[in-house]
Amino acid sequence: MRVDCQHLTVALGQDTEIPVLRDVTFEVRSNQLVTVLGPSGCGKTTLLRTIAGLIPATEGRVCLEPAAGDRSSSVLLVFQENSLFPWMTALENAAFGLKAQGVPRPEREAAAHELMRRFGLAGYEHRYPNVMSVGMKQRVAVIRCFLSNPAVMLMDEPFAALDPRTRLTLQEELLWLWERNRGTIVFVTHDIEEAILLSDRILILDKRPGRIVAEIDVPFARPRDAALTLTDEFLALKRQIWSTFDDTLAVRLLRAEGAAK
Amino acid sequence: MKHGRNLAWKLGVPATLLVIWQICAMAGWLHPMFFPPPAAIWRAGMQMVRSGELALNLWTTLTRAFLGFAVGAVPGVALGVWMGRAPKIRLAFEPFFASLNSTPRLVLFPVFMVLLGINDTARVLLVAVGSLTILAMHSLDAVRSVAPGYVELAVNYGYRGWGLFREVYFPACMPRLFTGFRTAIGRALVVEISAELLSSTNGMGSTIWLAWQTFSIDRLYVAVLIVAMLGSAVHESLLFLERRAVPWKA
Repeated sequence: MRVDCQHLTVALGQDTEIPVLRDVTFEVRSNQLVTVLGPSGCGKTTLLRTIAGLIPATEGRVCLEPAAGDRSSSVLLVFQENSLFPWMTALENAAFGLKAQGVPRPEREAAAHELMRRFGLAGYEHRYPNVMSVGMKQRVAVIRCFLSNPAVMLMDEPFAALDPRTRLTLQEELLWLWERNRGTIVFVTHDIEEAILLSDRILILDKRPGRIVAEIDVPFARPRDAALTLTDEFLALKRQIWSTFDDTLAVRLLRAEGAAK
Repeated sequence: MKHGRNLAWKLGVPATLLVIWQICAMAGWLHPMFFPPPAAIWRAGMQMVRSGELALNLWTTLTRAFLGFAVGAVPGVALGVWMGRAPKIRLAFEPFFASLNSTPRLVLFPVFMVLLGINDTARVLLVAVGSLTILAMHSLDAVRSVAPGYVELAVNYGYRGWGLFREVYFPACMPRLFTGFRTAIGRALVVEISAELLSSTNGMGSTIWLAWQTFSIDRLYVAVLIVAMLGSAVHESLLFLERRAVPWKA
C-alpha cells in the first residue's frame, strides 16, 4: 500500500496559531520502510495518528492507495506504551490480531508460538505482561503486528524505552521479519542510528510547527545488520543528518572525530 | 506452604485472644455473667449446632443476603457500565446514586416496610438497593478508568461494539468490579443482619436479639462470633475467586 500525505496541517485543541504539523507532504511507496526522525515534540506521533485516521487533519489529506500484491487493507499501529493488554498472556497478545481476523485458536497460537520461539520468547508464552521486561513486551507487540499481515505498519518509537543493546537486537529482529514479510512501514524515532539502520528513506521533522526539513535516501544494501553502524559510510550519513538539526553540533562532532583520528 | 503460613498468621491473633480469655476466666478475673469462658461458649455453640437452630438461622440470613445481593448486582453493574459509556446517562443518574450511596441503608427500611409489609421481600429489597448502589458506582468508576490506549489498540485491530466490550472493557474492569463485589457482599450481610435485629423472627440478627432479650450471654457470643466469621469467610472466598478470575493482578 502506498501512503501519500499531501499538505497535512494538524492543529490540536484550541491551539490553531501554531499547529503541531504544518504543510507536511511526503510519499511512502509500497513495501518501503521510511523513518520519520525528529526531536521530542516535533509532531511525529501526531503524524502517525493522523495517517492511522485517529486524528483528523485540519488541512490536507492522507491517501492510502492499495498496491498489487497487498495482503490486506489494514493499517496497524505499534505503540510505545500500553503496547500489550495486561489481562492476556504473551501468547494471547501475540495472536490478538489473528483472533480479530477470525483465525481459529489452534492455528493462531501455533503461528504466534513459532515467532515467539524465533525471538527468544520460548517459555514466556503463558506469562502475563506484568512479569515481562519492556524488551519482551515490545517483541510481542511487533510479532502481533507482523502476524496480522497489515498493508501498512505505523510504529511509534517502539524501541525508545530500551537499553542500547536490547534496542539493537530488536532492530535486527524487525529487519529480519520485514525482509521475510514485506509491507509498508512508517517508523517514528528520535534515534539517528536507528533511522539509518532500518530505513530506505529518512524524513527529518523540525518542531513548532512540525514540518519536513529534509528527506534523505539511505543508500545501504539489504539485508543489513548491526555491523553496518560501525562503517565509515554510516558515520558520514549520521554526520549529514546531524548537520540538518544543528550546525554547531555537527561541527563539534566532526572536530571530535578528527581529533580521535 | 505459603498459604498455610498465611492462615497461621490470620488465625494467630483470635486464637491468642481466646486463650487469654479462657485463662482470665479460669483465674476468676472476669465476671462469668458478662464474660463466660470460651469453653462454655463452645458448649452452647455445639448445643445450637445439634439442635439445628444455628444452621437454619445461618441459612436464612445467607439466603436473604445473597438473594438481595444478586437482585441488586445485575442491574447495578449494567447501570454502572451504561453510565460509564454514555455521558448523558451518567449526568442523569450519578447524582442519584451518589446521594443514595451516602444514605444509611436502614433509613429506607421503614419505607419498604410501609410499602411491602414486614416480610422477607422488604428485607431482600433493602439489601438489593445497597448492592445496586455500590456496584453501579464501582462499575462506573471501572469503565471510566479503562486506559484509552487499550481501547485504541483494540479498535486499531478492528474491534467495535460487543467485541470491544468483550476484549477490553470487561477484562479491564474486572479488578475494580471484584472490589465492588467484596464491598457489596459485606454490606449486604451488614444490612440483612441489621434488618433482622429490627424486625425478624429468624436469621442471625434475630438470634442475637433474642439472646440479648433472654440474657443468654453464651448464646449471644456464639451468634456474634459466627456473624464475624461469616463476614471473614465471604471476604476470603471472594479473594480466592478474584485470584482465579484476575490472574494478571497476582
